[in-house]
Amino acid sequence: MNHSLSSARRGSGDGDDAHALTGPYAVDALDADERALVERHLESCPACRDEVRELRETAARLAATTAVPPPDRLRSRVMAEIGTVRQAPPRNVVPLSRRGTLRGARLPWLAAAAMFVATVVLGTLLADARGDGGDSGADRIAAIVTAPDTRSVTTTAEGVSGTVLSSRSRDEALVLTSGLPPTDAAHEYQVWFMTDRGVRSAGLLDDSAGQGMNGRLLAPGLGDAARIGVTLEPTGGSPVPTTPPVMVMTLPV
Amino acid sequence: MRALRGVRAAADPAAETTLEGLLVRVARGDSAAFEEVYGRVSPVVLGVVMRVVRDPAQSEEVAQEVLVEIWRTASRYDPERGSANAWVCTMAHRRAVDRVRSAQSAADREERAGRRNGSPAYDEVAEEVEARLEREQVRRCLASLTELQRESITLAYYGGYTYREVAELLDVPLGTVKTRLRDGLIRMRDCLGVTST
Repeated sequence: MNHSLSSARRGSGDGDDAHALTGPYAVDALDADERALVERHLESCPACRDEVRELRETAARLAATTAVPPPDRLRSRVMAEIGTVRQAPPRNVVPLSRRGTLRGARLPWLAAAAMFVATVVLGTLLADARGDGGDSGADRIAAIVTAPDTRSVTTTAEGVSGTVLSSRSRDEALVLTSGLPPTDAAHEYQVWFMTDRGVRSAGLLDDSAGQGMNGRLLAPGLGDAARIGVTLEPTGGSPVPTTPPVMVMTLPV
Repeated sequence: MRALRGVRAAADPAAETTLEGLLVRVARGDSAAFEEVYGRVSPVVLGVVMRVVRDPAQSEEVAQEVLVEIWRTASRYDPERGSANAWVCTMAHRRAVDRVRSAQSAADREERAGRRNGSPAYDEVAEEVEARLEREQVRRCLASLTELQRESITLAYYGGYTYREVAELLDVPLGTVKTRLRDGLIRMRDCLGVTST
């Protein structure tokens, strides 16, 4: 370790300063400029990154000795606030509708996202061409994919994935799922638009097309829905959900 | 219902109960997982913040910010960069020092530092630290450091001072504090058996 550190030190000009600052950096004892200097240096110095990681773990042990029981009001404030805070997407994932502003580095992620949507849409179109999908509204799907205000949200949990493309201007949403457990003849999946005021049915998930339980639904009447949920209901659907959701996705505003 | 149970059963229960596993679920918007994360980390988050910020009302405010930030940015936690626990502690400590260094408090602190003669500030911080050192190992390892290493780490981490302030408070050259912070932490790391994996 010492070898790699000293060679890293020799390797770069401001690495000298930056390297001597790993200790202060790990305990946040730097001003903003120096902090930025160290962070730049870390990008190109794997040995320093290792050292900082270890010193941070060490600092976390110092932190452990400070633990105090938090008052109940902290819990209620935090829980109340998270209900109003949008979660940040993973650093490299950008909503499709922002593709115009993408920089080069993010392109692979865009390509992957676009590929996913393209694959799903293509699958839908092919199913229609084979005549086994009924009227799926392929042109409406194409329209929602290309609408300027279409936003997408994807979730993957425990082998189940869901994607929603929603367009407020078209007032509709395309819901796509994969990996939901198969249903028996007496049940099917129902999709719900959820608002603060309540829940209304968006329709039944059409999973007739695939063996792999790939469901889809093109649902009009998006309105001001904040989230989309999926529940398992008796065949034909229910007026209100009767089971806990197997999937909930928060819609982009 | 059977289908629902199927979905749940597919998960690996061991992976879900680590803080790292919980953060993955929090990133997907799982508020039950967040409740569990809250239960685990809030005592340390509040503890670290209070140690640095001191004022209880302000500390609770900062702790709330940190905990909400965990919810908001769980998707950006990168296991390559360290444990989830270190991620949380780093966030809490950094928010706390940012708060005390914000314009107004910075002025107050400078004045305070000017009035003091170095060692009183250290004694005050150290006293509180000692009173609260629940973990024998941390205490033992801190005790194994040289005096200057221990004072530097205590003032910087528990006191939230910059290394420049630490140098002033202890009346030693800047470079010395820089070095003592680093080699002191390395000695702590080895004493505590911290590994990077």
